[in-house]
Amino acid sequence: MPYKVMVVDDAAMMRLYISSFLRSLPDFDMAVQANNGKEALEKLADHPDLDLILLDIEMPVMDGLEFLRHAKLKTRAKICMLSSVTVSGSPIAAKARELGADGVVSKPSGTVSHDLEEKTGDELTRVMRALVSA
Amino acid sequence: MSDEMDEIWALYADDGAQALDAAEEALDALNDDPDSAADNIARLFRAIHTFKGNARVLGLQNVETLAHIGEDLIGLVRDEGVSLTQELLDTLVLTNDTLRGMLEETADTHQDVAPEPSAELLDQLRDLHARLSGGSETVDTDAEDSADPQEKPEPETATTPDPAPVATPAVLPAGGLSMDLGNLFDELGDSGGFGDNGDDIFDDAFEEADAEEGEAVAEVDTLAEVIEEPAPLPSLSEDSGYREVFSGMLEETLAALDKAEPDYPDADAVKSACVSVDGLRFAADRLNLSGWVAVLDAFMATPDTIDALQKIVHDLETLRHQQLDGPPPQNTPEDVTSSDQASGDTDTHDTTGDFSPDDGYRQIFLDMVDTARQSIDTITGTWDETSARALRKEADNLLFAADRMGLTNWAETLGAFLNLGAISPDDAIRLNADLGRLRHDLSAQATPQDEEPQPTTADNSFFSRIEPLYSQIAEIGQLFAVGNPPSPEDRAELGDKLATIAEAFGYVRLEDSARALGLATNNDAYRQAELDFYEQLVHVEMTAGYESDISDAIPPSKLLAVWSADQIFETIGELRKGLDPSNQDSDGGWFPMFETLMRRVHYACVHFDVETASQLTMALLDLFARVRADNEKPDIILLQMARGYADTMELVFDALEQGETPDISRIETMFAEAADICFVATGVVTARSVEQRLQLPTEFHRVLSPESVKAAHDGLGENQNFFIIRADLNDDDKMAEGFLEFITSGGLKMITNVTVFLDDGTLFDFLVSGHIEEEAVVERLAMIDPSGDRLSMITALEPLADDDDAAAQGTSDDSVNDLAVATPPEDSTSLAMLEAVGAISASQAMVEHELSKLASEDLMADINNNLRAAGISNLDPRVRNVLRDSIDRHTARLMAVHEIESQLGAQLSALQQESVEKRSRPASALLRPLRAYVAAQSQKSGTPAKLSYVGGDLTLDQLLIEDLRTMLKAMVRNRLSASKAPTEFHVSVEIEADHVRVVFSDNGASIADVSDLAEVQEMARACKGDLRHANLPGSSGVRLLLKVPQHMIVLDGMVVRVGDICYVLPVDAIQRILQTDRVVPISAARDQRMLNMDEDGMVPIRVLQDHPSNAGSKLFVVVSSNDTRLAIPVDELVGQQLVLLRPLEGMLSTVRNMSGVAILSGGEVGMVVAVSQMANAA
Repeated sequence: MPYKVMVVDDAAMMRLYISSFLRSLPDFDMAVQANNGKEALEKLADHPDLDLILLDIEMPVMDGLEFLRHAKLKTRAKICMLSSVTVSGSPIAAKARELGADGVVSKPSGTVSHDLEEKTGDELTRVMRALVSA
Repeated sequence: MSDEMDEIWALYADDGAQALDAAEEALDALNDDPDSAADNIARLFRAIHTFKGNARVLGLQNVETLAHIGEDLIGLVRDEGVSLTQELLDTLVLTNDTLRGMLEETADTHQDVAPEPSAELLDQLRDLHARLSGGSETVDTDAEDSADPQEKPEPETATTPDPAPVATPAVLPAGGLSMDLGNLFDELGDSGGFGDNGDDIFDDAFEEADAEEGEAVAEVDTLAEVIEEPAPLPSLSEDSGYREVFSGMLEETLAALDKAEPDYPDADAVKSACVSVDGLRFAADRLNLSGWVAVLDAFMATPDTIDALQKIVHDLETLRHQQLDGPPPQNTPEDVTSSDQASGDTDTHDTTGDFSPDDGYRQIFLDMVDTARQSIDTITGTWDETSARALRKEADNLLFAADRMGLTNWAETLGAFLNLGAISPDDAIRLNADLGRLRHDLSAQATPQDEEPQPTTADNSFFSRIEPLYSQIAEIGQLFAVGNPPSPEDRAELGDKLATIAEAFGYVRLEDSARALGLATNNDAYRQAELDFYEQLVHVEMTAGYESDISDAIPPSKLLAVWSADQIFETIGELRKGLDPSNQDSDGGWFPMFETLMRRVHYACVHFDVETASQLTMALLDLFARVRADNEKPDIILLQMARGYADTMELVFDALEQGETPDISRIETMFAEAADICFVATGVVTARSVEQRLQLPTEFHRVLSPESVKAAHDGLGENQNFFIIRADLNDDDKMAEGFLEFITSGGLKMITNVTVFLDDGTLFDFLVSGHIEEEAVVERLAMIDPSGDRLSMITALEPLADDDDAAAQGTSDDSVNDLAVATPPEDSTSLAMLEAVGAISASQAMVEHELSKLASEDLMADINNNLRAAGISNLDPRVRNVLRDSIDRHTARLMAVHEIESQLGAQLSALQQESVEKRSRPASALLRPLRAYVAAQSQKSGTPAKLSYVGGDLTLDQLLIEDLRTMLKAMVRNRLSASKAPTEFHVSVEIEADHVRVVFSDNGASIADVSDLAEVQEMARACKGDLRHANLPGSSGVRLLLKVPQHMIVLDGMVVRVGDICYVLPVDAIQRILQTDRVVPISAARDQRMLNMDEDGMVPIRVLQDHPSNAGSKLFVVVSSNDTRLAIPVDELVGQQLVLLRPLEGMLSTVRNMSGVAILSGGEVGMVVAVSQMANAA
């Protein structure tokens, strides 16, 4: 039974890239997607069995950090930040850790990273698998 | 038990007043409408009968006597057909009034009334009864209790119905209240609880009720037409009074069974269990609880095994859970005590799930609380050895009442207090505060019956419920900390309580954290769970807000900060210990507590309001967490940073504790380093450098990943053009795909992109680079998006020149690069340690080589030779054998040592290889800061200069980089101080076999002698290097040539053997290998031997060592350095291999033409030939 993943990203292209990447992993399945934190929170209630949430930060309406605060209380799904502003050791990455992000991975080439799978695929896969098996 | 008695008295007063009210209403009705006699006589009888029972329970004999005779008078009317005369009615009214006065007095004084005031009325009643009953018979109100049968009324059947068995289901006991009070009273009595002494108190109560039921049944038989249909016995779920009584009995039964278990199945234990179970069975039967009866009967059938005992306990607990632990009944207290007044009234359930009694009971309870709180205050203020016990008693009393009232949160708080191992004055103060808060909540519920209770907000309710448990969390933590772990039951109970509250609010992760608290089995696990729990509470606070009714309560964020600050030095101690190299786990399971400890430091920083430190802490945590996610161990740079961080933080907190202002400049520097470390580690420029050079708008700041920085850096190096393009990719997938294809494979490359929020839309700005011009980009965009609405060129960037960039970076980049090239104090130790590893490794290899030679020597042959040389030719064979045996043993031991030594050598070799890798850095780490240094220094000197370089991608040993940095900076300073200071510098770095060659040139004034650079020359010599100079033609500048041997490198070498010694020749230096005998002496060169290489000319032969084999050698390796060729005769080509070069030290450092030693693949030592030295000497 593949792990159920929610993808939260305001860029449709990025959601496509992530979706394509997830399809390459037999143990993960994109169950639902949302284009901002508010929409994601609303969808959480309908998907109580999620295993993982891949979460962008810079989004309209409700950003990823705000969503993180709320979702940490309401879901057992592991939350992995996947953002261009979470460069290793950066203040935003530190903030995400402070707010309880279970994992943090940086997009390699900005908000819309067409090379996600190529450059970050291995790292993201390792982190995702570590999180869902924890 | 005084408080419980107060409760009983209050119950008596309340119910007594209701009974007398009912009697009065009946009397009024009879007065107004004699036709209503049947109904109202029955009501009057029941009311007075109830009142009588209550008085008897409380031992109010005089009250009971008056009520009893009044009841008998009414009975004459009801049962004997006596007419209700006005005299009788007036007398009954007077009796009722008198009873009301008695009620008020007894409720106030808690004592029986004096007999005298009512003596006259009593006589009057007796006379009246005698007259109405048709004889001289005198009513004996003590008949039921009298031991003298002569005083019993005769015939008994006149007033006592036939005691026929009560039909099942039994009718409701007429004296419902008296039964309840009786049981409560009996439970509270000094005689002990049910089952304790074998007296079946409950049985007594039911016997009494039966007797009264008998009366009621008789009444039904006699006046069936006027008595209502008997109500069925209420079930546990319907009547809270029965429920409480039965629950109490059940608890006592379970306690008795628990007590009996250790001795089970001894006869006494079995008997004790049977007595308890039988009592409960009787009650269950009376309450028509068939399920309970069946379970209890099953035990009674075979009670004499431990299995039976355990089964009955399990079954009873299951039934309790199913039938008694559910939501408390909705009945009002009136329902409990007066079944015939049962109504549909329901009391309020507060949002905490407590059963809230009506205002009367609530007020009684609140009064009890006030009294208890005053006592607690007094006890706390005069604390002595008896105080804890007194406090327990107060809490125990309140707990009893709270339990009876169904106030679960009160019971939890008081239960938690009673569970404390040792009670301190602080605990008492905390309890009083908790009671105050709970009292406030309960008092607030005193709303009119018809008013809907106003639920508190969810948030208030959540924290109100969770906060009283903080003290338990802390207490368990304390027990763990002192090595006295609490029992699993206590931990689980706490975890369950917390989890239940969290679950009720849907806080799933908080629930998990709570359960983790309950499951923690050691101090580390508990504190980790505690941290997680508090963090989850902070999430609640941050998302739902915080409000508390407790005056001195603190919000979770503050609680977490204080909790972390309290243990900060312990935390840092653990952190330092875990970071110590000796504690590193070699199997990759690195420092599992690191994140937890760092989080604790972070919150302590928050407490002390040192924001930069808290950010640095989480930044470091992030860096380490990513390494852990990659299943790797942190590298030495990261570890050194963390160790430096721990040291610095300790100083910071020391200062804060002393009330001083800490020096956080180091923290600020480290924070910048942490943000840049991923760029430094990859050997490229920092993101900040690229931001500055490209003059990127702020939205592109702090978003460049190392990959993006590298792409931008490469583009800058190739003088590419940089553009920012705005794209709307939301609704046109085809256009979006076309655009993305263009910027990834159409002559442009994407560096990065950022989100731009405009009005309601989300757009993206792409930073791209390429060799194509702006016009071509715009044209292409127009082709992809003809409308021009979705794609637009925002700007064509104009990167700063390289030197502008260097100047712009100034000292800030120095600090970053210093991280890579400089060795902070902590690094020195590690590098020295790595150096020592290398030295040990080299020495060990030599030892191993010597051992190998010794082990392979034929000592016997040597001895024979020596003997022959000494003229001893005929050695006694026996001596020879003894010698041989001795030599063989010696050789065997040498071989064994050699084997061990070989293994050690292989390990050291691997260790040294690893140490070299850790010490390797790109040469750019030397040259980039040098460029910034030139810019800064030249600006200071008033003659701006810039530096260019090549060779930045070469890898050098970190120590060598340090040496070169010192020398190159000295060169720069020297040259900038010249009469004609250079405006341009160029540095070229090359690696030549075993040394590094640095060419430093500038366009400054010529120098007369290298002694002008004496400082640098001295440094070069200290490194076994060399410094030469040359003035460029036309006084156009100076070229300095600096050559220093490599410190530790992995060399691609050709291993050759000459005699017994192996040498390593750098492969890069080898021109040819040939086997020839075309050696010719050249007399012009002092008979120096030359190798004739035909068209390649004559090559001088240089031997590596004087060895007989050199003369006849036909195998030559031709090497070259600086256009000088040499032919080296060797005996054997051992083979090509990568070897680790170590510089020669000590005595060995004087060996000519050798640059170091190398450990060969078999653990042997080879001498590494310094081809350049040989060439120079040629």
